[in-house]
Amino acid sequence: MGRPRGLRFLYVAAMQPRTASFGSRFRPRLTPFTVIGAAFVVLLLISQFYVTSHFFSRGSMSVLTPLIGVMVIVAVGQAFVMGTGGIDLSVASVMTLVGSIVLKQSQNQNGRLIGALVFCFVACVVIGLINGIFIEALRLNALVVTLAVGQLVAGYTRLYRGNVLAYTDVPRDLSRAAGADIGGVSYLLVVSVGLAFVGTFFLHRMVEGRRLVASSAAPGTALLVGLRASGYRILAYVIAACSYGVGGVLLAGQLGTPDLTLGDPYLLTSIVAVVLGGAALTGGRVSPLATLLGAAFITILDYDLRVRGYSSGMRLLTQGIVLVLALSLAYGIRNLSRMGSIFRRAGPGRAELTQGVVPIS
Amino acid sequence: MPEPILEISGVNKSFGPVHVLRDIDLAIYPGQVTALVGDNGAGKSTLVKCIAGIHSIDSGTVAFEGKPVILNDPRVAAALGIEFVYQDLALADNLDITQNMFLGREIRRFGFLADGQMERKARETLTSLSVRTVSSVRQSVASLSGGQRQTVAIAKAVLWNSKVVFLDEPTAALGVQQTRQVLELVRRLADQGLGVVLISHNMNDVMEVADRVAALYLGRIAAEVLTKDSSTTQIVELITAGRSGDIGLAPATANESI
Repeated sequence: MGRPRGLRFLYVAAMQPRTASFGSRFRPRLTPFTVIGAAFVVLLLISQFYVTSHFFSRGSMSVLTPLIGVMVIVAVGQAFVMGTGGIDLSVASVMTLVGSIVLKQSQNQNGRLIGALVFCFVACVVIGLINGIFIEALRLNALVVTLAVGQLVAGYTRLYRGNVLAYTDVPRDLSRAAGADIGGVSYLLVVSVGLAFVGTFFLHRMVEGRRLVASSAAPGTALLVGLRASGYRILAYVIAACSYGVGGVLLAGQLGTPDLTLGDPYLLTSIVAVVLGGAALTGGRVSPLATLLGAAFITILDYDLRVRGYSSGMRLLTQGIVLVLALSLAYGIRNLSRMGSIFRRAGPGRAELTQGVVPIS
Repeated sequence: MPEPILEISGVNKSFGPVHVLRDIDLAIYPGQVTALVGDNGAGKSTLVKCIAGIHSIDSGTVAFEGKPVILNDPRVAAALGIEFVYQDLALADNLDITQNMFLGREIRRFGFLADGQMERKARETLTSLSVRTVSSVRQSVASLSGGQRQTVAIAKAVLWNSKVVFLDEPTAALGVQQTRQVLELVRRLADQGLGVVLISHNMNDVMEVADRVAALYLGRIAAEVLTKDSSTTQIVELITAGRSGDIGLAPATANESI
């Protein structure tokens, strides 16, 4: 059993729980993670060699990486909710709301920014709790509840902003922070990748994360074991709302003048990104890192189409097609492994293996 | 006769107008397998869920090691050392064997999961039960056969130095070979000094591993008999009619409609 090194070590460390048989588990397999990883690499190659020869240039990176960064943060939040078997349609309204809060509370003064961010955080926690409690405690349909909450938040945002805006720009500190980059790569992307790793760490290495996974995929089991399963699922909605909040604030900083349509493009795309990351819509399978790749994929695809001069109608159409393809592919991969095991069981070697006595490794 | 480790007396439970359990008295002894048998709807699973704390009891008392206890939460039963292996298995498909065995009671190191330690303990437990049917404690539960799942569920129950284990139909969906393995495991648990309650429909299983049989009939304990003193026919009569010869419920009670 060789010691894993380099990238492989990172992969194993992030994706797998630490085990005594550490390192022997790395085998290339057809999983949602490897599939979206491969698709992502292919898309990068197409972008560089077919769409534009300047894809990795500083110019296109400085346009693209902030977009990817916000997309990743929002999609990871959506992944937590979809992992519980729910769906969150309040994402766009929450992002728009925090954009407006930052605008109005900070009054274009750097000193008031912290207060505005605290206000945003409280708003997100409250929205997450409302979503979670309605869905988990009252057992209402996630689609309907989050749609309604989204509408409530959108309405409140309009009232909150009022008709005449005294300030149209976010504080300079925020736009500078959101616009910063290293060598053309936006800090937003760096932060979002960091968040995806934190999310993975939470799900795989922390007690609460593992209980969340169990409560999502096997709610009955979690109850029999004595976990507060609905509590953990409500937590997922709160985590998600807070991610949308972070995404919304950073996007507002990036744009400088957040308007009432700030979050709209993220409604469908965040769901597409999570599905691209191989999430089952019935809950259970959720990987922030695969979601990261899914978010990057859908953003780059949209960028490529824009560079090639396709209309917005064409781009929406493509997103729809990608969603359908990803859903069928995710289903196909799961069934493939099931079919594979049927074939293996039929083989003579496998039959011997299940009959015979195998020592515990 | 040793002292019973778990003693249930006068337990009643209703779901709305349906009186599911009526004055149940049952004693579980350490080192013995007590079979709980009864027809569909006789109240076996309800009784188990009442002891587990999933359902509350309407009246009656439960004593554990001679002391009265109130079981109103699955964690209370777990803390006492009463474990349950449910019919619907209670394993999370997307976690592996180790993760399932420690679900809800994870070992922490600096607040994080100590997976290596849990893996070792899981392996030790399986080895101590002479389980050789699972190849790795890191296997995902979704990939296990019915017998292997049952084995894991039972091993999970004994991981916690438990004193009483309830097994709800552990052999219901298993083949001959796997049933044999699970029954051997059940016997080993009792030989290690645990009080084992086996809920089963299968008379062969019951006659093979059980020391005592408690037959439930329409929410009542019809009789508690020793396996070595009774025949399959007698037990089947207790299950289906509530009485057999001069043991069981009084004819008037047995014929009472619910």
